[in-house]
Amino acid sequence: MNLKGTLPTLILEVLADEPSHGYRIAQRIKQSSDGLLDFKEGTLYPALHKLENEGSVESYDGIENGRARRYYRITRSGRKVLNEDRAEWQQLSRAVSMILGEA
Amino acid sequence: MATLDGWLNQAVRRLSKDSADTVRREIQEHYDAAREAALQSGNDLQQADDIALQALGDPCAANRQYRKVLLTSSEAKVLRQSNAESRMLCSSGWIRWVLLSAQGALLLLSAASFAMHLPLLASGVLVLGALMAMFFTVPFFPIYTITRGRIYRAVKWALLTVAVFAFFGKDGWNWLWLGSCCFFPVIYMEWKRAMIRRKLPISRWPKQLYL
Repeated sequence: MNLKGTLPTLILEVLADEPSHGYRIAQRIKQSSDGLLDFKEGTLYPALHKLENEGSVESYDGIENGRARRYYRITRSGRKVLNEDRAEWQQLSRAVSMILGEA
Repeated sequence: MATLDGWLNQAVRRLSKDSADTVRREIQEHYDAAREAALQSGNDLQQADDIALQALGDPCAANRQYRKVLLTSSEAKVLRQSNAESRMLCSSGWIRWVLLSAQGALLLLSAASFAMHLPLLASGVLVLGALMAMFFTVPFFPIYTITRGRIYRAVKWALLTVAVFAFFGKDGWNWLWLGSCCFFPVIYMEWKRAMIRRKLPISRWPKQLYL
């Protein structure tokens, strides 16, 4: 399923629970959607950099199983953006459901 | 057969060295984790490599997206070289003195021209002085916030437009192409700086990015 434009919101949603590294973020998105949302993982990091440039997430170095990892965590402004995106998505989803339900 | 190195070489095309290093590090980390997960799922080494590489997708698509968010080599070069005028101004006391006093002298000359009923000469000299002040004294101004930077850039472009019309009068529109050609380096730098501003977090902006 095409994820165009929604990947940053999904990343923020995953990071809202706990800080995470890129690979785990990708797996969480795929697992949470029962594999319906599939995307090329090479495009995950540009989205993370964009969120970082906008101040929605911040990154730090960590260690997992003895291996260095780049971790990302959501910032306060990131949570605000996520709430706005959620509200916008729910409105859009409701509107589309109404139209499709009437068809 | 495609390899991670081949993928990375395409994904980092035209990125700056620092950006390319970042991409290589994060993709290598991701690839290792994906490969490890594939091995734990019972795949052999070759299959694990293929699965991890395939999951990354098209390197050209990744490169296009990386170039939108990370500095390219040309932007990194602009960033390195764009404080040249500030370094030149601050490098020696007498250069600074000459450049700053030249603007004062132009202002006096403009006032004298007005007094001598030479309004055309006066306005030309005044605009020249203002342009010099705009480019040469600005490194000494406390412009290190986004709002001040925006105000400065708005004033700079308004002044450049006024300069074209002050020099060419009513024919300003006809000569706008000449002004655009003359100011092309300024326009190019401005465009590159705008790109860089979108890519760098504000905490990492050097002073010249505000200008």
